[in-house]
Amino acid sequence: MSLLECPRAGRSYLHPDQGETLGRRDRVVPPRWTRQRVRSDPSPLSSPPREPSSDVAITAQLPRVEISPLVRLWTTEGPPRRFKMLQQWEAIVTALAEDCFVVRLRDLSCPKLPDEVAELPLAEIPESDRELLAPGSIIYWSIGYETSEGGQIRRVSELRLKRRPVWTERMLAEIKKKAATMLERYQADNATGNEHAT
Amino acid sequence: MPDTERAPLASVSIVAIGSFNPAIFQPLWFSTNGLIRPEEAASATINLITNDVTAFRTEWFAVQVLSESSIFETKDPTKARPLRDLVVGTFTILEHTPVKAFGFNSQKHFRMGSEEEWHAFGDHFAPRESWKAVVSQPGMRVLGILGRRDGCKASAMNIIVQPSAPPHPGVLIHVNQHYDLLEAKKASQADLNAYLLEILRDEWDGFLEYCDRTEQHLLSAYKPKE
Repeated sequence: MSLLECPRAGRSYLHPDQGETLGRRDRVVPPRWTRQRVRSDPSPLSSPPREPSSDVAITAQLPRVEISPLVRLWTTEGPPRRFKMLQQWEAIVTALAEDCFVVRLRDLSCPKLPDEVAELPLAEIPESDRELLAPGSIIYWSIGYETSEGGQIRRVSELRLKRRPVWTERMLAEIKKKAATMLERYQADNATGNEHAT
Repeated sequence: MPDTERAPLASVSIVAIGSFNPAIFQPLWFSTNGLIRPEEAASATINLITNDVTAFRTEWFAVQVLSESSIFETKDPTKARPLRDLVVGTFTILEHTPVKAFGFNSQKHFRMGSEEEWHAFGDHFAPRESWKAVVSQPGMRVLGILGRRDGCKASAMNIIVQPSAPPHPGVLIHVNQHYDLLEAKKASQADLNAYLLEILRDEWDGFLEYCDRTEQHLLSAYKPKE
């Protein structure tokens, strides 16, 4: 299958992984009777339970090479992160100290809860994010259980700084232009108001 | 004991349809513009970067851009909001990129308690009685529902339910919230893109909550009421 024929290329709104199994591998089927495990599509819901051995088949096949597309447009390599979220906050930095910073926490897991204040160690912020840390910065703080591929469960606390695009000259120029327009309008309104008052 | 076993395999993605220049979307471009860390760009796995296609992934997100579509996806449950920020940042910088439509997607695989529960789920949402006259042993393979969501600017909601593999027995619930920007009737592409950014900022969190509610509903609605 060539790149242009890849059925995924034209898919838009459907999720790229829809209906496919993770970790698919290309394989060469040997030219002989083989007893192999057949990776079939998922069984339909409501169908009778499968026989325990129904996914093992005896197949006789001519030499056949499954050729992968030239380009895998969407790879599903690597398993999704298995993370059971216990709580997540959006934290707004309110003050910075030498080795810690103070945040106001908004609970994203339960937004009805009132805001809280916490002090967090600077050591938990990656080096390359520290220069961006300032009062007003937003940090996502997630706490949960992570299960590794080997089954190990760890309690994880993770901070991620919200990154915003760098201000370009053009963006700054547009903001200044908008500000000037607003100021003009404000001054015009004020002048009109003063005229009415007099 | 923490219920870590039930943590579903999950991914969320944001898809935009329009006209793109795939070659721009390189890890270095994202880090130079401050959207990701330099280390994340340096450690990205690049599948392909050409004028026609870009596909790469980092520790927490993957990007695929073709000339007519772009997809940003994360399979890390802690990164749904950073993914939204990444897309907001991208389209803030590429403010004149023509976008015609876009969609939010959530896919979660849920392990069912038993094979019986798995069948009960399918029987509830796609009763097999009507099918027995035309096929033997009918079973639900895919079920799709199209509708709208109150209090949301989306053009349509698509919910798809199907058996999951893996895990087995399990179900995959896919929720898509679709926006047709041409419906918004904005005067210029810049206005359309500003509208896109507004939607991303205002409706992403609501979408994530809606997905949780929908999944909880679907995973309980099939159970007999006690």
